[in-house]
Amino acid sequence: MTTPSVLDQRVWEDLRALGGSEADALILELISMYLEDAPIQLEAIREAVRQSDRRAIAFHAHALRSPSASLGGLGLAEACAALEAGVDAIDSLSLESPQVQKLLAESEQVVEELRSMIRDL
Amino acid sequence: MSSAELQEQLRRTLGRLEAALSSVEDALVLTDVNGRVEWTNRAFNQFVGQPRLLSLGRLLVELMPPHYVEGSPESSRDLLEEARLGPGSLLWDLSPTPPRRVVEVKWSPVNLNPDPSLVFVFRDLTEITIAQDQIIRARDTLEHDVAARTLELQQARDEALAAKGAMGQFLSTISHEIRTPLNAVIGMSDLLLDISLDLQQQELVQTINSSAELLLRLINDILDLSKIEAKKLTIASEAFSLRSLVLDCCRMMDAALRAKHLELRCSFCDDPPDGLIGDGLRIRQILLNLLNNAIKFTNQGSIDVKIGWRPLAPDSIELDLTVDDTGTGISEDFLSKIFQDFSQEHNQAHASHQQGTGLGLAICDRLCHLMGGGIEVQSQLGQGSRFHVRLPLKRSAPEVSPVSGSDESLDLDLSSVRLLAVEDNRINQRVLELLLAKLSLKVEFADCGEDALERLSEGGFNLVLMDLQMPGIDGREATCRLRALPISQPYVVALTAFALEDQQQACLEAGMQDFLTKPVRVPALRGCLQRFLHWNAHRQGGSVLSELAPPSAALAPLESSP
Repeated sequence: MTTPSVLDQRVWEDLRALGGSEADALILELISMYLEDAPIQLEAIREAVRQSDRRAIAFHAHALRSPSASLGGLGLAEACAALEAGVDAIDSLSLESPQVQKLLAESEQVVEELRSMIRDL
Repeated sequence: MSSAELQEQLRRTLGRLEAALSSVEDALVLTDVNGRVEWTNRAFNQFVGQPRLLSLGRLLVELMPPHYVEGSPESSRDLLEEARLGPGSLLWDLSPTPPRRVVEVKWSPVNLNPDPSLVFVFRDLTEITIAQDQIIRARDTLEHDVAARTLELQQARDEALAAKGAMGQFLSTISHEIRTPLNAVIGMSDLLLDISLDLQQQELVQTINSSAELLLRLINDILDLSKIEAKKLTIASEAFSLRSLVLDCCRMMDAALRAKHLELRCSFCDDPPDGLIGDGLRIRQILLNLLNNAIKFTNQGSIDVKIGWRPLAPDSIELDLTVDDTGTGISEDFLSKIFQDFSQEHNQAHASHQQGTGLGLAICDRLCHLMGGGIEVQSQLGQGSRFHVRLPLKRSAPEVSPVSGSDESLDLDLSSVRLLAVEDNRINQRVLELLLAKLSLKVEFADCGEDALERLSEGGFNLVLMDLQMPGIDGREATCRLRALPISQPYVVALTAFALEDQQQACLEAGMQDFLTKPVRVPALRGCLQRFLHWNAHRQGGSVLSELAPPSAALAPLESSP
């Protein structure tokens, strides 16, 4: 891989160890679940930003946070936490707000890297 | 130049030399090789007590006054022998008894052709010698005095130690004797307080009760201290759980913290090993003492407990325990004697309502030393205090080496575990399931707080992994409600995405006992299970504390969870 990984490799070493001989199947299963769930949360975040529904933003950012951390997306998890904790302090909330941008950019990288992992299996 | 002129010049030079040598204080004499005097100066004439004309041509030895070397008379004949051989010197005493009169004699052959001569110089060293003698005498006297004084001090010390031993014995005996009636006083006044009394009576009984409590605490402290001083206190070597110990101590402070509106934060740095071997009870005593002090002297702000560590050897560590407060601080004067017996700062504005025995820190200090560690304090008046305890401890289980590190070798008996994981995300559920399966553990899942409470209310679970933030009832709220259920209470572990100190504190307050940070990794999970097993074993065997702890207020058994 030419681009540096955004995923924490220790988490993936653990996951591979957990899967043992079934590691590939496990990885496929986990990533598939994530690729199904994450876009739903991301869309919900975008929609909540458009509606300026701060509670909903915090809720969905939280929902995206822990599965992202579980699959090694620690940067994304942090971005989720930052948005969740800081959403009330953002003055003019929009898709261009730095906290939102950060989350969306991180999530794009995570999703992209997970996709390529499945392709490489 | 003519020979007459030369002779004249020579005569004048000799005259000047003669005059110069006459003014020298040292006595000078020139003799031939047989010791016959050829020339003297004025000081020599005075030294031998006769004019030069009477000395010239006589033997030097006949002119010399009687003299002594180290108390015995000496003949001057040897002096001539020595002088022929080469330059030298020696000291003469001119009097066999004090006061001393001392002369230094120096000599040297002078090889003039055709007749070689000998030159002798006599210098009076009486004053210097007397001064030296006085110094030597003073030194000898001093040495003698010091030796005598040292002996006296040693005797005094031995007597003091014997008295201290007797005192300790006495205190220990009398304390035991006092404790029995005192317990009766406390018990009876407790009973009295339950009876309906009027306000004044209640106040009186309350005073009796709290005074007796203080007295009991003092007696227990004295007993502890005298045991330590008498070296009768043995340090136990037993396995204990570091986290349980620290968290239990913090929980015991709840009431005191609430009463003063203080915050207590507790954090573990660098994931310290949990299973340790040492004297858990004594470490608990030290921590409780430090916490009690911190609360006592802090009127606003917070108290921070930090647990850190560093490895000493593969099977031992140094535990670093710090208690920081934002309290009144300690004056520089008092700081130096803070670990002494019965030391309490009396000039504090609020001292009137402080109650304590003044023995707590002395006991902490002695205990730390007995355990091979130490305690230090940093503080400034008005700037809060920091107490830092270092203790060497053994690990209860050696680090699992990478070679035998497969998870199958895990020697935890998990057969008794019934585990509910409360986690709303399916990916996290799956990962947890796999992790736990790796340790041969079956897990049941609840999707949300409501679901969890419903299942837990049926009883039977003894371990709960609780996600903190869930839609609806969150982890803390669920734990609070769980604690109110009339069931056998499980061990509750908070699952958190980020380990924040504030969050840990909130979890403790909600009744959670442990933390796991997501993503959960096998070593952390294993550590957590070890702590659970430790907790479970002690719960089944009854409270370890109530069985082992001496009946000291500071080591009172834990209150059961509300």
